[in-house]
Amino acid sequence: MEQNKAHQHDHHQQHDAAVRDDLTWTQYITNLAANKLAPPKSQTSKVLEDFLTRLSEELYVKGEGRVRERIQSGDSEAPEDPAFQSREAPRNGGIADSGRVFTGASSPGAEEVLVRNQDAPQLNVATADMEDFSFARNQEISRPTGPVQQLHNEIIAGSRWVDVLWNFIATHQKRLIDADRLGIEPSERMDIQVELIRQIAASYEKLDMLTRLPDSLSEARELKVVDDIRTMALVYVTRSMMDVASPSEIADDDETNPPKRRIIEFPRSVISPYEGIQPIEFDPNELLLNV
Amino acid sequence: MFPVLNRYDEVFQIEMDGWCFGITNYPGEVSAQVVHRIIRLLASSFQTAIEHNVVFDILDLASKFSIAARCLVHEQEIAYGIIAQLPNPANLHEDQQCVLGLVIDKVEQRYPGVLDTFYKRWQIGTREAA
Repeated sequence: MEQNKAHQHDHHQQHDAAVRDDLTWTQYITNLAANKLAPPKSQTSKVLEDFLTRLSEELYVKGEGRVRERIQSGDSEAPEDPAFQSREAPRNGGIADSGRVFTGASSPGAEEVLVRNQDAPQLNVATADMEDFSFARNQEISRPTGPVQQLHNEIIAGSRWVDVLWNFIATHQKRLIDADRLGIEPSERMDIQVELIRQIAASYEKLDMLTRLPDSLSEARELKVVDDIRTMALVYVTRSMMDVASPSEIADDDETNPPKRRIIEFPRSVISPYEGIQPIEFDPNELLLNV
Repeated sequence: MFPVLNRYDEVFQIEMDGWCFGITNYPGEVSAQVVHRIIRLLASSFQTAIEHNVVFDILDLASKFSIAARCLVHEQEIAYGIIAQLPNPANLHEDQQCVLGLVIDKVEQRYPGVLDTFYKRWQIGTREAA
């Protein structure tokens, strides 16, 4: 009888784990947060302050060479390419092995903001324009000012720091996640942002500070859905254009015959919201089959 | 009737069908928020359609979107959402204003009071712009 119960218990655990794996990360985080809807702990502010202080002290603003130099000299495991990017996301709220999430190969005029966080849970490595950060210009570590200080203040003030970080990322998206320079396709961009938020949430969970529902997560997911639908709409439009005339029909067009090819411009809102990005080459037939 | 410019009616039709196709075939859950977000994204397309003298049927479009979204959002709600994205008549030429009037007229016949609602909204927008 006892064995049977134990077996059932194991079975339930396995089932729970399977269900948990099947859940999207948003659902998981939401469920997790819902189960932890407890009043904030009295030490929360202090822990946050310590966390942010440590994080701030580890902020460096350097040029590309400096960052590379520091990575190479300071961390033997760090790759030589500063465009290193860890996509290994922690499952079930775990913490990724790497302390780096984002970085990018700097182009002239841009500066790297390297957030190194060895002891505390990882946060990010991001790129930013120098003009946004007025601290540590002369290779000195100083107290953060500007947006970082504002972020710091808002977090300490008790805002939902996942939301604050999300707003920060959204506001400085171009600078923080320089997808162009990383060569990331538009469709991957939202994945990356979601990944970043997910890892932040994982860090948050690790610190046992996930006390409120992170509303911004649902928005990130919503944007991702819209992006996916947009891609499918683009596939449909492409397909429609292909149906209008085959390449051979277009080649056969001449002045004597009426033109078979319709002149249809891609509606702007369907093409892509990301201007200046090279279109992805794909086979619409294959995509449609996969739909 | 004003002639459609650059055969934009075909472009508009394909674009709307494309979005409906995307919503219909999206493998995951499509929430009402997603549908409204898409409608907001289409604001520029609606404006372009009116600028090209395309008198599109909002009710038909709303019905298509509603069906594509598994009737998760009522077509009246979508119709209102679409009208909310239409350009302010004050920013349009006289011909385009007529096209806009024809577009809204169909909705007004089905849902009386729509025009009044949005007319007030546009007036406020005009005042704020001034």
